[in-house]
Amino acid sequence: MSIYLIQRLGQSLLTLLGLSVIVFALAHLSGDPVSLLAPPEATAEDMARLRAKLGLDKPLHTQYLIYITQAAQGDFGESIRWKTPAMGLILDRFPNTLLLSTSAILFGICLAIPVGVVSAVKRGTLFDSVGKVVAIIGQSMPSFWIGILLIMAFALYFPIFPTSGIGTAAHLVLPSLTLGGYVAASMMRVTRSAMLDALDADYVRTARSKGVSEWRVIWKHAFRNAATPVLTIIALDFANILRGAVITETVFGWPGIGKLAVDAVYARDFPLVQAAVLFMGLVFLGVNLLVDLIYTRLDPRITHG
Amino acid sequence: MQWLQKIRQLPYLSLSYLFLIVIIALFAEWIAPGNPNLQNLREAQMPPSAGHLLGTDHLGRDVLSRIIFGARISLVVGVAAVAVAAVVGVFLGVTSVMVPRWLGDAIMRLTDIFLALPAVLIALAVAATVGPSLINVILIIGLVYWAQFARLVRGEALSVRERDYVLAARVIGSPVLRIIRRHILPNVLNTIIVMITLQLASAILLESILSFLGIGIPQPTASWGNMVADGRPYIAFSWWIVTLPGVAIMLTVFSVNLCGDWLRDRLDPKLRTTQF
Amino acid sequence: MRNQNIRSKLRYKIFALITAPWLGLCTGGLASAAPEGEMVIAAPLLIQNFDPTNHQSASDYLPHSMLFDGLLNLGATGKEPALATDWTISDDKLMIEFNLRRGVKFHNGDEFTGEDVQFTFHRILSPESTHNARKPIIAALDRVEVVNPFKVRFHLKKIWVDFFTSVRSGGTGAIVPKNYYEKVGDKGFQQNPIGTGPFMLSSIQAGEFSKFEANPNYWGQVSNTKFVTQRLVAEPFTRYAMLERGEADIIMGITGPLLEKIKASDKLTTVSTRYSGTSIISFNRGTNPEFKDRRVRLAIAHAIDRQAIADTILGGVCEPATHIFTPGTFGYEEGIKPVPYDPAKAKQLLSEAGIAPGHEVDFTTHTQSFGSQPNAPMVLEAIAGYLEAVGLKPKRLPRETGAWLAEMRAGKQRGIFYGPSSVPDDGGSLLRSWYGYQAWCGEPCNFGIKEYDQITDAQAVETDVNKREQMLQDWAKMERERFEIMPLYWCSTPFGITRSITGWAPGLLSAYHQNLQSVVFEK
Repeated sequence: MSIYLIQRLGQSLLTLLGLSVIVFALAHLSGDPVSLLAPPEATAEDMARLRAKLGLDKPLHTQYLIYITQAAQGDFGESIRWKTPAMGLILDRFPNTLLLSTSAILFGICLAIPVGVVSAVKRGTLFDSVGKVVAIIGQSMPSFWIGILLIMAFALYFPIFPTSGIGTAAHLVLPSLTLGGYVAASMMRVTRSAMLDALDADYVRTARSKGVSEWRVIWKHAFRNAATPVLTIIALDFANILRGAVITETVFGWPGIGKLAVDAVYARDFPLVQAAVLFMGLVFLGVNLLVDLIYTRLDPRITHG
Repeated sequence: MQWLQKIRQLPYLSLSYLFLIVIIALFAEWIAPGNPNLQNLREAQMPPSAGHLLGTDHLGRDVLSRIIFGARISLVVGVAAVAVAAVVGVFLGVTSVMVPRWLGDAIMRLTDIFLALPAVLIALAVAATVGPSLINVILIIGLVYWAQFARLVRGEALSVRERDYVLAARVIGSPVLRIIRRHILPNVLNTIIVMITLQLASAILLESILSFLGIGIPQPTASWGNMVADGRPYIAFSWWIVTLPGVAIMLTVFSVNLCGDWLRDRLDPKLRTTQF
Repeated sequence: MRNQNIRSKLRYKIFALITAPWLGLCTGGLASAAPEGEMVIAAPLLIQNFDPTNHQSASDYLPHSMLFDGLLNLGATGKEPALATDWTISDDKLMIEFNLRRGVKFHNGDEFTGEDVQFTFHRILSPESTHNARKPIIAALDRVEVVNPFKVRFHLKKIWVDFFTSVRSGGTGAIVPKNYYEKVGDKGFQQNPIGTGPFMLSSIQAGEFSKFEANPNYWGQVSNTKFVTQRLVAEPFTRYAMLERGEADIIMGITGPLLEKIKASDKLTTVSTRYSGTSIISFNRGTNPEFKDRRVRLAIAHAIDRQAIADTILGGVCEPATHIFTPGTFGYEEGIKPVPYDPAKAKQLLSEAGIAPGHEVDFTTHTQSFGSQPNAPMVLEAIAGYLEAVGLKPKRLPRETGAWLAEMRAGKQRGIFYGPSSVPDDGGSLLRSWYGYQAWCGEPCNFGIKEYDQITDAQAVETDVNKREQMLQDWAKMERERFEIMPLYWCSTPFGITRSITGWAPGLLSAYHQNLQSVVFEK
């Protein structure tokens, strides 16, 4: 097991390194932050000076080497726009993204799992069809549209919730619904499928023939076995949205890392973009690694190719 | 009577709807009542009326015509992008299984990197470099999705590779391409088909999100995605500008999803518990 | 069985792992309630550059006009004495003597004296300065002499004609405290800025908000609003929703239907600054030689119904311009006739110039709004539609702001391109920026017209204010004849406000000098 762990850690590190190269190249190719920062009247020499001040005048591979050596020591550079350490900005905001992501996942779970289970149990009935429709709808509209509709409905016409920002538990509701609706669909699908498989199994039939109540059969037996893929999908979805739900954060003004990173790309704020992508990659790889490890413990039969 | 059972479970409604959309997209010029790009500012933001069945948008263009032509663009973008992603992803995924170990691992690393990259940010950075255009939107969406194909196909191909007849083929020295064509591809085909269907739904949505970020299909070309994104401020007033293309997206994506689910159940039940 | 037990224990662990931090963050994340009398401004941009000696663009005034004063400030009727109470100019025009206001204190209690004025301007003059308007200041100012704590002399190398008329020039530049700045250095100053202004900076979150507190010892009108927060909200609809809901008291950056809704509402209203911007359409004669023909340029002007665009897309926020100078610009000439909307005339002129129908022209468009022109993407798209209606075939080249800026600096913009200007207060700087060898947009803007360059240089050294104004006015008439550039719009900046805001007098011709201390805020 530990060999596997070391292997996986090594792979993740390589991936992270590759990530840093790609995002570095992409960020620097995407444009020149100096032309955005400098005022319209700046001359070529003004801009050259600004570039030198920011260390952007050296050849690309030199810049990368400087960047990666500093990063290895924990220095991810200073945001060109906000003039504060880049990683500090990200870490400041990560708790907000974490909060939003967990809320969304919890909402997704509360909606998706019961619907998925009942859909599987009542397969082929009206409930199944309606359940499917409701779940897929959450994935059938662009998220910014859902967000704006929610603001219109529940912040303007029925002023129940605040329109945007962060602060109280009420601020959390609409963004979580928007984000949660998206992940609920995939969770519900997987729950339903897993339950279908579980309900087909022999021991379920045995339990039923022994006279165990339907309720116990569903929850105590079938669901237990369906739990593994359901947990996996929850964790994978969590890893996905933990990277920062860019659209939701923009619409709702939620101060998370997604919004920060998008603004940084527009402003060609390289250090911040690089730090953000590295951080998101780290989080994503970390959660995936965790899931794989737990998966191994849960089911030793799984082979790893 | 088994086939009767199967037919009854066909997602009829969704398939007919999709068929209708494809017809509309193919014959847009004959179906649309007018020129989708013809502006008329003095008639901007008019509600549905006899002259304009679905109203006019903020530049006075006929919404119905734009939705009809938009169908073509949205479908083309979706299909082309997924095709790009599928071709690249399947190629890399299958190749990674049949080449020497170190190359296969390198391809795996590349796939992992792209899976770890946050899609929206990469789309933004690439668009900032190459500028917005129809081709670039297709390529960007393809760039976002290829890795998922590669990973899934690789997994399938790996298990196929270990099967007896494949091992036998390799032992007797069958050329690699032949093995891929005769043994591996047919077995991963089901997976690929399901994934194509489901990614198509995501691609149509992603096009809209790119427009929201300002890097979508550029004006004056109408796509459902950019109609919804550009019409955001009008949502509470000239609601037809944004709601109708939004409904079009919803119905289409929903139908594609439904069909994809049905395909998945029929073709490859193993995929029911994987994540897309 | 054992596996099952492990699994269920693991399940609970995972569940706990997910919910615990959520509960913690939820309760921990409950911010303290907004203090009484807090005014919230939601805007699509947030400037957190707090060092005025590193002034980068006009929008920097958003925080600078809160925290600092200049020798002059920009009030509702124009530039008025602030830290300087009065001044005299020597006969040879090469020395200005300012009498400074007494009894002014910086936010940290330090007395304001002439030393601070000297320190500020010498910082801008120094070689490492990255102040955006450094060049004209360096060209004009030799040094600042402190005669006594309340009298300074500006010794000039050459006549500084637009010191009192242009915001870009030094007159309204913010003054920083010498002792404090030297003590904390530029980085320290950026973290904790100190000025003499009507507000003090109380806290910030980078990229999210800046919070200000009223300065109770302000020498001028003390703000009745105790707390002001500038908040970055990118999505226009969300800003509108915040205003509706009362979560924001002032919003910026709204046009079109959202603006209409605000105007129609009882609870809300709008305040505008006239004219905070001017915009033009210029033509790259290099990439498209047909633009050398004046008839073609005029035809394009006749083809566009600017009033229709102003009424529909711009929601009445902008007015079709007759000239690049707005009515408030120094050098404005009254009575210049606009080019009327006349598509027939446009077609006629085009055929006279030998342009066949279906002729393709490059058109640099925008995917984001930028500068003083609200809704630039839609405006330019509408213009493209009008060009198509007279038989031209515009080839759209969409650009995002960053890419466009880079292109403009390199002089590589193609075909028809748009140019915005914020705070259009001085005709001389507009002339210099867009027409001629000093234009910032490179070769395409350098028309090589001798008279234009002569006038640009002559008015820059003309000391007689009336003569200078006359020169600019004459130039304005000349330009109307030659029509090198097509004027587009004079735009105001509308602010959506709730009814709890009254008495607001924002700075003239600027969207960024908001003078929030003039607001009477009832909440």
